[in-house]
Amino acid sequence: MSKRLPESFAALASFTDKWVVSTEAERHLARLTAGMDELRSLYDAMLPRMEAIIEYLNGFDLKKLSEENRNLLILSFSFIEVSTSIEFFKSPTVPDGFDFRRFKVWK
Amino acid sequence: MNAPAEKINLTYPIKDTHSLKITNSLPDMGNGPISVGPYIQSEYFEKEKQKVFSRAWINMGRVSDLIPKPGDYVVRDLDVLGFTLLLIHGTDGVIRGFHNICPHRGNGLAIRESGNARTLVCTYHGWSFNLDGSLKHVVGEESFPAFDRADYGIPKITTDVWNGFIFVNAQEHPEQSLVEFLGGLGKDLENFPFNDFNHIARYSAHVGVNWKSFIDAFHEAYHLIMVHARSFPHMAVKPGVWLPTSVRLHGPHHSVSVWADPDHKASPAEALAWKYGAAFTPGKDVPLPGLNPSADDNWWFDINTFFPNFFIDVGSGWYFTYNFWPVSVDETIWEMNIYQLDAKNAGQQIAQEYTKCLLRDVLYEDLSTMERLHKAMHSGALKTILPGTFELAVRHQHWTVEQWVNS
Repeated sequence: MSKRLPESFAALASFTDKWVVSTEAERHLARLTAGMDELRSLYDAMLPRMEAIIEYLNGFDLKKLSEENRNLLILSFSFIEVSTSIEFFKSPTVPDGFDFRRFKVWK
Repeated sequence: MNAPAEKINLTYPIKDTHSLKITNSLPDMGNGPISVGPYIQSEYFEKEKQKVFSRAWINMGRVSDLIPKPGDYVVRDLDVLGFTLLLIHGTDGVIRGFHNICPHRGNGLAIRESGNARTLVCTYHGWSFNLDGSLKHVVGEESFPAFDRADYGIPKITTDVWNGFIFVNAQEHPEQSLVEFLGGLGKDLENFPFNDFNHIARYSAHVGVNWKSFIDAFHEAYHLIMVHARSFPHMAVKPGVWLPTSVRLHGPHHSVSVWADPDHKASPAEALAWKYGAAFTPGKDVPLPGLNPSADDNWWFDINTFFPNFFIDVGSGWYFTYNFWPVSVDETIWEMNIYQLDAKNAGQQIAQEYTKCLLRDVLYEDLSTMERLHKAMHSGALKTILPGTFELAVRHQHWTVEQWVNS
């Protein structure tokens, strides 16, 4: 079930179920265990909208975001999360990196 | 190699990029190979426990993360020091350290890892203690005829706080006060506004490597060309990016400033982070006291290594810490905490998210080499390692441990 987004960004609704998760640990695990196609589709949908998203969210008090706006912010965090996979690593995990199952993300 | 206290121009093929400043004279640390013995011998590790970890001031983390409010307490098992530490934030605001021991018969006083209390009550026979460690109440006190209450406080551990960071010292009367021990490095960072930052991430890993090798992965930039060729692609291919711009030795501690490539080309996500906030990669500068102490051109960030096992790396709008906890000669627990200035809007917070995620992914790369090199040291085939001038901090750390172990 998709989560609510501000109306002008409703086109991103299909990503909210998986990617609007509130902790870094959840977003990170979602990325590490996803396929590249899935990461690519989130990245491609978000990148051209990111400036508009930031300009829009910057108009609100960060401490008092509505649920839709908070969901949009968290979706942006997920864009950031997958960006290194797309832009640098060409892989969900860090290639030749330390085993992620042994790397604890606390928050 | 007692170099003069001024700029040293090293001659190497890319000397036109910049030169390495060493701002104080260097002790005679040699420049040859270093034996791998200290990294793999259990006897050496035992000496390190006695001569290094039982003498130095050891960082435990920040008050604001561990025990922010009066009554808060936290328990940490410190294998390397041989005791279990109980840290308490007193109702008087004082941070105190104790052995987690009831002086009656030795039961652990706090049996949970952390909590908040007004009184600590032993779960064995109910002796209770005030948060300053003094004895509060003994059940059936009349049954202890030769009894002086003052002798039965919770056993103390020397504890002090610098800039919000808690340090403990296993000695009852340390050779130096905390401020004396932190010396010039503490002074350089004295006015950095640590309290204005928020804790935004914590990572840890238990890795099969000696604690010194682990530390050595983090205070030189020479490895950027290979280990971080993916995560810093544009920087890694540029000659000279792996050079420190300046090195400052402060007794057992040191500080290394790292060069940033002014021609660095941001990736699309990184470009957003630069545009709307402060990012780990050199984008907008946020000038703060304590940063870039040697006033280097194209400065990126400072790596500050507090002997023996603690780092505070500082940059524009962020800082992060590492703690390296030796478990045995062959194992180390590593912890990282990231702090950033308060985000004023969503754009700044998204930029901070970028910094955090990039740093974390870079750490996967850093940790990847650790167990390989420790195995190599045990193989018998690798008798020595050879840190070069760009890895001066590696040599200094090794040399300092040697000095302390042999003192």
